[in-house]
Amino acid sequence: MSIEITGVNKRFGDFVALDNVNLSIPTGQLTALLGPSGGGKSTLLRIIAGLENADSGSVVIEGTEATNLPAQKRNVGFVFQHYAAFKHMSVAKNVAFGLEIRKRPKAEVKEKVEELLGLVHLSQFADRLPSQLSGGQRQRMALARALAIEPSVLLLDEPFGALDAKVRKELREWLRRLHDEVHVTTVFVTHDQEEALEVADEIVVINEGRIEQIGSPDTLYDAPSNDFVMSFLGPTTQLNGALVRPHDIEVFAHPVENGIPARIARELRVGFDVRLWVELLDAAHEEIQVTVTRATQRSLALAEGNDVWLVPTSA
Amino acid sequence: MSRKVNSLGRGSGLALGISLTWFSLLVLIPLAAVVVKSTAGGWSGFTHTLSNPQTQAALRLTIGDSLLVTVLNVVMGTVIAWVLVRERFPGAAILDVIIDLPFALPTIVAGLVLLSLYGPQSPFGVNEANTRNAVFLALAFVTLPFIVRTVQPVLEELDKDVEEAASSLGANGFTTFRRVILPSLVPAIAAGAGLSFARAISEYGSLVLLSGNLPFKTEVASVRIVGFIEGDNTAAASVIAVVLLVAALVVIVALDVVQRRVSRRG
Ligand SMILES: Nc1ncnc2c1ncn2[C@@H]1O[C@H](COP(=O)(O)OP(=O)(O)OP(=O)(O)O)[C@@H](O)[C@H]1O
Ligand SMILES: [Mg+2]
Repeated sequence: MSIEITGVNKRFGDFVALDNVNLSIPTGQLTALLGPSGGGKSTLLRIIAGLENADSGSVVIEGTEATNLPAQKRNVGFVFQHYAAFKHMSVAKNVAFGLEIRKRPKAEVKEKVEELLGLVHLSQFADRLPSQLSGGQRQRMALARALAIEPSVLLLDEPFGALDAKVRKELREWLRRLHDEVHVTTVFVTHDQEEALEVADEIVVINEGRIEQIGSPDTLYDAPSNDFVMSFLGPTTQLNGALVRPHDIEVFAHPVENGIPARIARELRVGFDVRLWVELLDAAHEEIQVTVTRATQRSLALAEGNDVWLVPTSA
Repeated sequence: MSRKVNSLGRGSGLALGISLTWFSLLVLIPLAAVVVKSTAGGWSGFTHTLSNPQTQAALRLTIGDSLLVTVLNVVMGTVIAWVLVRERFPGAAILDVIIDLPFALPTIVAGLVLLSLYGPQSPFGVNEANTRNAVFLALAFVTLPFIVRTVQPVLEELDKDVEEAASSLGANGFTTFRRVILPSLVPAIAAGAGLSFARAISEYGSLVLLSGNLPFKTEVASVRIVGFIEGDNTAAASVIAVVLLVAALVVIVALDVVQRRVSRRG
């Protein structure tokens, strides 16, 4: 295990930000801390980095007791949401910073910086100032800067949070590939479940200062341990008093056995998905959401006002 | 060359026109008048005024002490700004208000305050009246707020995460200050230093009472100017004014050069 967190508590005044958190983060993996805003993800990450002190509990990084080590002695790479670039230094200088602090020979620094800039595809921007880079480029620079010190763990706090959707998607795929190349134990914070599901080897769901569930993306998605995890990892809707995913409901245009009668109230097409709001034709006349593919909608000729029959498909 | 995009359109042209006119009326024309006046006695009049030993002593004292005071302010002003922004201590809010006192006091009131504190009737028994220390003290007093007030807002706006990034990369507090924080403060420090120097070379009210205005000892340039004007020699007064003007320009340009150099390194 690369990071061992035991019994960590953190309060800000009366507010409990972390409530007895225990967590083991495996070596060489990409772990996501996922949860709603204010859940304590950043606080936990900052405690691992030594940027914040826990009120109680311990942090062990690669077998070294780090609880009382200051940030500068932890050899942890940290990437911030808003880049935290050293504005007056060139891109190369930014990346060289940690190595210069460590008094490495000039030639070695130069070589390492060149190698890292190549890795993050910024070689041709070495002499620019951070203000002359795009957001995505700045964040890649910040990543190279953090990797320069050969950190024992790499921590990223919503690294793509300030970028637009397209760049976010590109960068997260790129981060995944980079991780497969570099293999440094990586923890990244996100409140975007799609990002976590797509990139992470393991996801830790955090809510209100507590860990709700730890597991692989598949485990979390298929076997959420509670309604919170289920609803946080994807869309849900209520059917017969149970939480189900809108695409785990099969729709029929004719009566079927155990089919729940309903009527399509509204429909909304989003790309290949078609979202249906259907009104159950029971006493409560509840409206629930069902997602079908465009193909299903066509073949069943589903339209507003049609009667349909619903069958939940998931176990 | 392509035309620069003017986002404010016509209105900004008007604003520019008004600004230039205003600036000319208030600054350029009077300055030009002083320069013209200083040459009233021709080149010989100019050199005659400047070769006077008493005038030279006054200029040396004024410019020398102003430079010293500015250097002192660069250090102390930055430290005080740092303490005000970063340290939590009782009375911080009061100190924050008091810093402006030298600005807020009419300079002659400041002079009176200094005289009663460090004059013959000093409650601490520190009598600096009629000494050169009095000049330095008065200059330090009135110029203290400049650098504090230019550095403070910049320090408040500094991103905490930049410092955190530096420490996670292994930098200790001092290295972080020197390589990350200081370069961002240098433009503000330079601006404050320019103001501080310009104020110091022209200071009059706060030091006339305590310094005693002794020729060759505690007489400063502004007192010398007043002396010339009272003797109806406005040309000589203008000559000194022009020297002060040049000194201020030199310092401001030098600060700008230093500032550009330093904030580019790191
Ligand atoms: N320095 C602080 N002082 C007071 N309260 C704080 C401080 N830092 C965090 N908190 C509180 O602790 C809680 C957890 O904050 P944290 O930043 O860890 O949340 P998060 O999960 O990272 O949320 P987000 O996704 O919005 O970044 C929040 O309610 C926040 O207001
Ligand atoms: Mg956060």
